Amino acid sequence: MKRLKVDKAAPAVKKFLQSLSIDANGVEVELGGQLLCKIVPPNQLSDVEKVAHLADLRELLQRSRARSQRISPRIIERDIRTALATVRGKR
Amino acid sequence: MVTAILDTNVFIRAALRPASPSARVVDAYLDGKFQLILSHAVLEELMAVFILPAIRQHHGWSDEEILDFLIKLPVGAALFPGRAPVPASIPRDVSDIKILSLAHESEADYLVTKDGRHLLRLKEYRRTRIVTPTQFLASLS
Repeated sequence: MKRLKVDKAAPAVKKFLQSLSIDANGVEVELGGQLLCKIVPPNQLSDVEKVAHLADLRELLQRSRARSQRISPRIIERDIRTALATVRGKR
Repeated sequence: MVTAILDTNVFIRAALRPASPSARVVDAYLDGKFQLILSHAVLEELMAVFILPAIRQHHGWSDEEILDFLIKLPVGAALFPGRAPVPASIPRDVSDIKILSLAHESEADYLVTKDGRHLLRLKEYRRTRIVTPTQFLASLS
């Protein structure tokens, strides 16, 4: 399946795409009365695609863990607490 | 299959603390040991934390890799809107509402969190038990 990267797309486009993925049945996109495409949510991926996605997640986690292992757990915990407080508006 | 909501604090520790129970919880999800329950609000909070410079310096992921992680995380999960109202009588932090709403809608078996100040004190919310990563791992084994 071809993959389109939308990292650099306009924020409105990203928001639109994010709003579509909640529908478990996928979404058909129509323009001028013609069906352009169907967007399928991740839970409708094939088994092969799911395995590939899980492998990618493991690889990302492994890399992050290997990198952060060099840093004191105390510092990591401090930064996690500060980050959560920042995001949750307590700072 | 057991269903569980993971708090943001569990995902972040899973990425940054290899030896932590949180890391083993997320690994158990990737191994298909339970079904993860997610909402867009949880994913948005996760993204907001991952992009902070203090966290980014630890995981070292690029913008594209952060998005990749968030897009692929729901691959074995069930997504819910997470908009159910939470009664004002429930003692909680404002930021906990999204996760309690998700517990209400999904009727998840567990909510796994490290939040000892609010969520863990509730012990349960509707049909969902609120537990630490260590307690959750014990329940899986």
